[in-house]
Amino acid sequence: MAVSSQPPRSRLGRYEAFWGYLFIAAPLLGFIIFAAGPLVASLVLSFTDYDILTPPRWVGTQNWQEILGLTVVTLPQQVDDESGEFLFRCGRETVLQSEIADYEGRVDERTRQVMTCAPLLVRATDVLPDGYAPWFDVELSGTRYLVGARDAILWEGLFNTVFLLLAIPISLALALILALALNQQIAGKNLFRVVYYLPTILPLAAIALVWLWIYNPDFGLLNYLLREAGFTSLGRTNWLQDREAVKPALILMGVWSGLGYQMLIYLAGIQGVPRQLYEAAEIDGAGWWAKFWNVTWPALTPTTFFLLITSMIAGFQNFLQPYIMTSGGPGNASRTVVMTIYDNAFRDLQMGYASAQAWMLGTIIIAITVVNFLLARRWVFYEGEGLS
Amino acid sequence: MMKRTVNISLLIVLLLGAFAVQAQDPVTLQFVGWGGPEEGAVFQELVDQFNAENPDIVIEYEQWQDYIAQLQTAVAGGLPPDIAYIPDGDFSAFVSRGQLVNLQPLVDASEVLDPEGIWASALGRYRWDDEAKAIGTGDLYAVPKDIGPTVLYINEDLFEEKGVPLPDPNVPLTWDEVVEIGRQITTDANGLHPGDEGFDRSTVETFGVGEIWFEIAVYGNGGRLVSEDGREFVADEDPRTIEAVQWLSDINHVYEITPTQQQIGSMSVGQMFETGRVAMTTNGRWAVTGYRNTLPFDWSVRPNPVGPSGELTTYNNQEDCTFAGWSGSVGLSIIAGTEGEANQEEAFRFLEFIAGPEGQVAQAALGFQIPNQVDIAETDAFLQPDQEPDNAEVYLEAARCEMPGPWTQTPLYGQWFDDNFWRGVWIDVVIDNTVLAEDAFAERADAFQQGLDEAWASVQEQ
Repeated sequence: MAVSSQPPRSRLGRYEAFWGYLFIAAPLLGFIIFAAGPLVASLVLSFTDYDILTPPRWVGTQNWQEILGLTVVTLPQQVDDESGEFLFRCGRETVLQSEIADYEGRVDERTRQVMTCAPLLVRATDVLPDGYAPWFDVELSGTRYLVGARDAILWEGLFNTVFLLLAIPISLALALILALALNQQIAGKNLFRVVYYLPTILPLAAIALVWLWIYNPDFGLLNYLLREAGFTSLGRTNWLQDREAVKPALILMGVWSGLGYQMLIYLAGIQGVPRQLYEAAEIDGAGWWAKFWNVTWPALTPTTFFLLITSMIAGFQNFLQPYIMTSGGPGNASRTVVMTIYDNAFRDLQMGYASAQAWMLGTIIIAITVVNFLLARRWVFYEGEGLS
Repeated sequence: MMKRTVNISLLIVLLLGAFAVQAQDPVTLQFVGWGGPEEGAVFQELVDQFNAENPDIVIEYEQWQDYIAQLQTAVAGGLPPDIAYIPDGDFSAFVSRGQLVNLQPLVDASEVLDPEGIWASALGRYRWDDEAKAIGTGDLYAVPKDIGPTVLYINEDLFEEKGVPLPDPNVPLTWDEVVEIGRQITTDANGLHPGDEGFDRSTVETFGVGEIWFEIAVYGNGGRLVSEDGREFVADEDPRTIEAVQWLSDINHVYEITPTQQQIGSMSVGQMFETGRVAMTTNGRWAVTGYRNTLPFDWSVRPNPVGPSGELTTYNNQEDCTFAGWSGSVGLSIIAGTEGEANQEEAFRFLEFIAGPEGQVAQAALGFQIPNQVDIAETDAFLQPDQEPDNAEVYLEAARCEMPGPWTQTPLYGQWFDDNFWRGVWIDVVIDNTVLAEDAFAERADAFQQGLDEAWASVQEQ
């Protein structure tokens, strides 16, 4: 049905338009009151200092400077003032380069540990400008660079959030495989569909609590299975309290809890693929892989695109499960952006600053969605386009 | 005739009654707090008793969940309660925004409450100087409902089982002694101790030490986190503080007498103590009620361990203290801008009742806390010689000598300190043991001070 650019003129047209507007009035009003209003209010608040209890105070772009303040410095090795030699740290001692041989490999009397020596670098606080905190450091061609941020916790949260997005390609791939499998005529396929879909209808908080037990280092199911399978050292991992393990653990849980929904959407997509395309492919002598690669996958690209976009938007707002399971720990290793916004707003009552952070996140999500749409032209096929 | 007389006299009685009610017109005040069902029952009883004795006042008592958030929302929303628990750590946030009524004139005029008779450390944390924006001096804006000091809890059965003599009930252990005892009690599946050839830490069944709380180690070594006025962050330059944090790392990574992070991941330190796997651990007075009901072994308390510096950080720098630590407390305040402020004499009468002798004796029977009045704390109402622990006197020195928690000394402690310490220094030094305490503090010294400055600036602007 073509959309007319002319306003409807007939009596019936006006009548229908009236009812049409009336029907969309409820969601539209809901959006204006509960979304657009707060959206504009939070944009205004992002330029203020506001603690709810006292009136907001205009601070200009101060919040934004705080959020966007990033800097890069180098971390040179410390030099001894008197001798001009490089300094090293051996065990707990600070040692000149010429003295390293006396320390390396010796056993520290107090700690009873073998000493190893490493270059003693300049302290981050001595090289970062005032108000900046270290975010991360990297070594590039022999020089150690330090990236500092005025709000290092926010940036670390952003990095973690992006890292946790790794769950999306994994779960999309698994969901597609599952959907393909459950589209076959196999016994009990409805039962399997229900089983895989079940996690989707469980409350997120309940899932988090169950996985807390699964990840328990001594009594947890995961470590039990790992140890039974012979991975004795991996089976001792303290999944949620180890800086290295916590993000993979959250990704695994994210994959599990997102799988059912994605599988269902893929199933619907698969069943919408025109049968005549398969028949044509079979006549041309295509095997199962050729049929998948040339028919099923192109036909499923709109579904994949939809799932990708919605999962990424949801992924950037990741909050509840890490909040319940780790409170962002250990350290800030599983802290997400939304958790930082939440803490600033509701723990520290810095509503103005939290509003600015929320707008930063919103802007990132919009930008990534736009980029996704632009990229989509290259790989998403819609029905009616030439399937070459 | 007879009937009419009765009717008339009935009418008169009714009229008189109506007048009497009108003349008194009781003040209704809302009082909110939190706590378990036992505390709720005791407070409801106290409230009922108070209402019966004071016909001109009606106190309506409620327990709130998620207390501080709900209280802040109620205050911000313009519907605050009249009287409320104010925990010591949140006192500065409320008082600096002008949300609490100055109780000093009422305390001065009171015949029930004698400030001299209340633990100085309990009262001091509720003082606020509005001119200078200083915590700990000036007028009282809350009265302490209680004081809960921290001490070392020991599992006597485990000492006996390992053949280790019980420490002297009144002399604090030194850190070296804690390590030595810890080595003897920490035993792996093959009966080996830390330092023995072939000792396997992952199979340890009993631990010498559960945890020594960070503030207890720092104060027990004479260290400080902030200057006395709370304006300067000093831990990075205080060798006693640095030594304390390093020691907390060492008892884990060098002496290996505490549970590993991995072991704590499956069972909390508290649960390990309760199931008899830990010989010594620090905890507050509030743990006693639960321990009396649940601990399946003989237990008692000891003074907190003291560090090698030979110095202690005590409340008001008292010199006749043998150990140090921190004590918790909850205050009672009248919220500004409420009926409670308009009728502050009535509201304060209730505060006096709870914080005074009658309320304190009733609460002491619960066992959660130390009565805020020294002379009541020294009686059997609190010491309860027929109940564990048998050496409750330890709590009295603790109440007198221990500092209020550091969170009472500066505004927004949970923000500036937690961000840099618990999510920074602590992880690097004590959990991961990848950085020395000295370096970890120096690395973040500026961030600590900057956060502290911002916290004070937020108070100044009010």
